[in-house]
Amino acid sequence: MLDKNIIYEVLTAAVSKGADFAEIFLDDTVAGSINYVDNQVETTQSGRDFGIGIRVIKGLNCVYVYTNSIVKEDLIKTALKAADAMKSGKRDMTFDLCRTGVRKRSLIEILPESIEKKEKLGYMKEAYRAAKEYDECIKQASVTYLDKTQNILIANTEGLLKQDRRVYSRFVISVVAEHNGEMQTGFTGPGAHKGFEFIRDLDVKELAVNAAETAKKMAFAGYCTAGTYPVVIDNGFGGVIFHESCGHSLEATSVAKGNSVFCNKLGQKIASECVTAIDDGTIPNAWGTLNIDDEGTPTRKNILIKNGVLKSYLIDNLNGKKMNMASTGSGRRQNYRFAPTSRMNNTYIANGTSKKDDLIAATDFGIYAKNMGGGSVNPGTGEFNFAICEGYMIRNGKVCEPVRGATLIGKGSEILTNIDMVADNMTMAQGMCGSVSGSIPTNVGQPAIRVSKITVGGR
Amino acid sequence: MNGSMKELMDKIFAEGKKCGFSDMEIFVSEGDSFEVKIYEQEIDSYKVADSKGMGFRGVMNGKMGYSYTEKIADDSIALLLSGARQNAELSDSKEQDVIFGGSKEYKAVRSYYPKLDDVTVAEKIEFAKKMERTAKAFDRRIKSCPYCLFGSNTGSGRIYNTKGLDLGSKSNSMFCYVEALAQDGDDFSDGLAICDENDYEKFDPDKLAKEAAVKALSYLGTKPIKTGQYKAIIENIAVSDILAAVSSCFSARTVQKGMSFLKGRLGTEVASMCVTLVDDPFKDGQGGTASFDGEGVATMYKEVISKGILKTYLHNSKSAKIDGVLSTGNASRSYKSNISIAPTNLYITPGTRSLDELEKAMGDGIVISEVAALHSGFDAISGDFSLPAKGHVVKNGNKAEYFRQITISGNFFNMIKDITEVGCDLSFGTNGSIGSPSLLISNISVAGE
Repeated sequence: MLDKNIIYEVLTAAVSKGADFAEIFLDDTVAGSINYVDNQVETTQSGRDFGIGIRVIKGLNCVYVYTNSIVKEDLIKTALKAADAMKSGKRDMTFDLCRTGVRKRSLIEILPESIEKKEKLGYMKEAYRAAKEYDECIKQASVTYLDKTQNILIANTEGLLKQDRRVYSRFVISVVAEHNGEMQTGFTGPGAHKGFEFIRDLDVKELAVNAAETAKKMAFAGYCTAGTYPVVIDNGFGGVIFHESCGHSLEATSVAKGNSVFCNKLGQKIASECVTAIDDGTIPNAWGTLNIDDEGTPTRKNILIKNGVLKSYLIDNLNGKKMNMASTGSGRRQNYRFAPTSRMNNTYIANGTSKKDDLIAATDFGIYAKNMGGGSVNPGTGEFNFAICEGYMIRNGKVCEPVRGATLIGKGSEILTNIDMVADNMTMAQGMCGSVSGSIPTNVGQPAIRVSKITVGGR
Repeated sequence: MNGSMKELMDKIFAEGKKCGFSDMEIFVSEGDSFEVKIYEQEIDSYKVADSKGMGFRGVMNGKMGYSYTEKIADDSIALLLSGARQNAELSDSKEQDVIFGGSKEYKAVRSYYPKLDDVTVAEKIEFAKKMERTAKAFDRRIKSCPYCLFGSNTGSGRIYNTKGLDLGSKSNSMFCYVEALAQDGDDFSDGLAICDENDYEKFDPDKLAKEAAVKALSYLGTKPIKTGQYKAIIENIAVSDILAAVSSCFSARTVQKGMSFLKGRLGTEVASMCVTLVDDPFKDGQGGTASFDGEGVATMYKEVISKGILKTYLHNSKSAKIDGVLSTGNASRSYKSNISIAPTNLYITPGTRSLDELEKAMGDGIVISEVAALHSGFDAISGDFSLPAKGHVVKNGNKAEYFRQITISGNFFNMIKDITEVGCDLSFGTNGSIGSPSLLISNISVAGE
């Protein structure tokens, strides 16, 4: 991808004015997409994202520069730009770049770019038809296919030199149902760190029907009444509650600066005893899995909370330096345009011992959130929110009529202690997580959980 | 744009002809950006970038195919052409995008401010440091500034095609952002202030820092209000954010696909009489200011909603052809995207009274100052929303207690019918191209305590 001697020269230039550390991140990505809607191909794109980011660190300060050029002179000029910005004397650093292998966590069978787009479109049309034929209230469906092969090279002045390839496939279905002039949407978007075999193994018809079913139910549903309720949040994308209410606040990005509600809480009880939470970057072929993070550190399985007690933060190298702690293999970035920082991979609440039915049976009056949408959090204040896509009222321990249009809000520290039951049906779901180092693929997950009290927006 | 770029583009066209493309177009964008973040008076991060991207599109057998590359070099030509060819083969829609030869006239716009480029890096760093210092010194409860940054961008774009079109544009911007975090015991609260003026003289670090600190402190120790229905004023920035989330509804393609609430509502009353919504590409120095759109069509000023009546959708060439009308100059494009539709500068035109005067007019009610979760709590197709919000209570026309941790819920299209007055304080939101004054609304649903 880039000659070792050029890498050496660029890194040497980057530290030449006094920095302690420099790193190169080369990113060469081939991406393709198709969007099929209204019985036709709406958009289709193929392209190559290419660039080189150079990071220079002195003490705890960081300078980041990037360019799309691969010409040696441009790279050295860019590296000197970073060196100048850091400027604190002169430095001659010698190091040996030692190329090391990467342990592969995910087997890739079929590179997406080796498959004709016509075959990809075939699956999309199948899903589109299944959604449209589900019911006459289904007015529109949009099917999107996405693939990406990211080839990266990471090298730094500590002698690290690693190359890796990440392959992603995703299939997204969005279905619109209409009833009495009001439109509601159903959504599903499975993805994996896999090649085209992932799409071939999907039951796209079933996925489309499930999304159509949600859309129809919500189109016929009434609005949730605003208030504070116990809420049973089902498995899979329900895990977005942990991701938002707690996960982001455990990232060293916030913790290292003391701007998280979970600072200085290691070893302390921050959640109810039934909560054990894990971030695992090593699950084979999972959407948020990486062989190595974007600093070249192998990913790990990190236990964040065990039986309610805080065990670990998510840490990258630079923030680790500030915190006097080692990296947890969590340094991530969207692409060469971003300096890496601590982020989540595949984050989930582990299975408990209750059954999902017990959670519902234990609730006299509350809400059952079957499908969740996205959310967000302010790590500093711990205030988070996330949306229910498919919800139902619970009355006398039974799931009753569907309700729509509700956002749940709360404070992370309070929600964690209000989780009073955890079921045993853990699954994961895929999302794109946006933060300071860009938008990255992450899995969220959990078994069904019950939160004893949460504010539900409604009418 | 230098000579070697033109050489490369002509080479792509020559190779493309050989591959069987009839008409072709290249869209190149280049940008320089700078951003510094300060934390505890140190440079926490410092980012400098120069970036380029090239989008290609070409017509083969009457169908349009797209591709792009960020590696702008001879060895990318084959990938560009083969990608576009495969995508053209896939295209099956009756109406195709077109490559445009040019409009008769293009109105000059102001989107580049040379003086902004004179602000030095040292000044930018000192500015950000001063914001942090002032915010922290403002009150002992201001614990830190998690985000304190100063940034600037310069960008240029060029459309070059085989129909003889060669159009260029240049723009720049400068922005700063400060977040103050206040703490009192176990209670945390934050406040933000942003500035993105086109004149450095208007950047005032002390004013911004105080604004962020006051906001953070105002909400410290506050509680939710009671669940119920309220008369409300939604402040300008919050309305801008909501309007941005719903803006795809005005796209004619969204309407044609049946994915907009506005389908079939042209010429009908969709908002209160006091609402006029314009798409204005000629407003100086806003994010959407441009003399031509993504297809090279001259942009135009239009009223989208005039005194409550929906007058037009936003069109590009393809959607216009489907509806049998003319393009409204709203084709949107980046080098990575297909042609789509987007507003230029979309805003509700201001009324005459200030926020204070609106509060007096409201008497009893609430003011919603900030909303969040627009990516998840807002359904752009139905207009339904359920959003976390912050604000304060108004009693007898006077500002009373602040509140937070509530959600407001409703439907955007019902809400704009309930507007009883539009304020005079037009402001553009965080995206820089969608704006609104504060709005007085007869009824909004709140989930709180």
